[in-house]
Amino acid sequence: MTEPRDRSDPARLSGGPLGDLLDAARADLPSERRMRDLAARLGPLLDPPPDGSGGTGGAPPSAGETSPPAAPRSAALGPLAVVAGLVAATGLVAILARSPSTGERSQHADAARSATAAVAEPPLASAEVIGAAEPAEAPVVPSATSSARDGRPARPVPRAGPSAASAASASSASVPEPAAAASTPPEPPETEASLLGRAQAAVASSPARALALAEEHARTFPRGALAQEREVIQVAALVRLGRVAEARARAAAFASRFPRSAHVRRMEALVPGATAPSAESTSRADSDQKR
Amino acid sequence: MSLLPVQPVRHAGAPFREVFAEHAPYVWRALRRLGASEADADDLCQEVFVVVHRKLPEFEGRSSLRTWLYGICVRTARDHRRRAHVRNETPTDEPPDARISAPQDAELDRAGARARLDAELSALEPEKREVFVLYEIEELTMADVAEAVGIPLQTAYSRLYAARKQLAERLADRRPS
Repeated sequence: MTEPRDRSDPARLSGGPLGDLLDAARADLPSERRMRDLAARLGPLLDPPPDGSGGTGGAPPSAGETSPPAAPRSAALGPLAVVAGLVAATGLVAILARSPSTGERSQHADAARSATAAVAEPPLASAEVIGAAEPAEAPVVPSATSSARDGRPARPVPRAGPSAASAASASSASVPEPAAAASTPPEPPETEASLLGRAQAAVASSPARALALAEEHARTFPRGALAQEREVIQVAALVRLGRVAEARARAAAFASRFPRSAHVRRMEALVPGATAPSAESTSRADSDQKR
Repeated sequence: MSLLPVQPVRHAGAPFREVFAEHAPYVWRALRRLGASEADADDLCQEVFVVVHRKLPEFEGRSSLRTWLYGICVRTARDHRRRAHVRNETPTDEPPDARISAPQDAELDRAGARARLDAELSALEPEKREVFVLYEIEELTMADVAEAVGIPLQTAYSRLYAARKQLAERLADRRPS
């Protein structure tokens, strides 16, 4: 991957002390294994569903396996890293609120409105992304208005997959949520994604609130499509609150319930040693260890 | 923040998968020499390609794809530097003693050389480092370097020469007598 010099370009350095160092640097390409891990992180982007029906909450494990950043790095990057991990793991595009008030603002938005607002907002974590609101590639929520009645954005039907995670997502996607009839507010109820988004946004700054919102999500959407994401948020919030034993138990339960979920590794990063040491996760964890 | 299902994107030009396969190793290498640790380079590489995935449909081919990619790469590394600065992580300025790395293992030698180079590069101003890395290691043309970094060509030249001079002087100072 080199380009010839322009005639006016100086000769590149070679030989001598500096040239030797540069040769070493030029040879410093990542290993195949590292590239595979990177590809796995980007799995949903590299392997869109062949039927073109949109993203899925139940990507096959091979495409959905991820290498989320280790816990201390997540802490350093705050919720952005967590969100990035979720994105890579599930094929969901996370739309970050740029101001603290954005999450609140969306609280009572109906599905169609929140979908529109989300499309106008830049996805993901880097300043590069945040700096440019470009709707050109914005994810389109299929028939958002059709499901606006029950206050949830429409989800594409996940592909049938062999894993427990896929099966869980598929079944949950096909079963309508019971409406929260007991406490139905006059305005349309908040969407599942919006509620969980608020929970996610609160993990770093207010883990107790994040936990409360996640529990609200569990009550409101007992069979929600984002149940696995909720679990990650709950474990992260518990860790932040110092309730490590609970976090560990939750992570372990998650790992045994969804052993092939891409989120197992995130759980492991949040609570090291909590998830069952399956051969696959162990080898991947080893490969992640930096010198 | 909200979560939405991602929509697969069809690119008129090179498919994202091919862009990743062809360029990701070099993006990762560039991120390393622009100051990211190995672990950070993984994360930043992911960031770069999430951006690439989003922007690829808009890529109009006014520059080469490679130059465009390095531009994203440079900006991502800059953002990372700012975050690292906020976290008060300053890279070490002292290169490891080259004599420690015994010459029995070539890879060990290369690792030592890289660490030494990184230490020297981190002493450069970031603006000079970007130009130096893209030209000397990534081997872009100077015109492409200028475009990726977003500076006039003459500025790129002067940064390259300044970086070379500074590095040569530092290495000469450190050479054992």
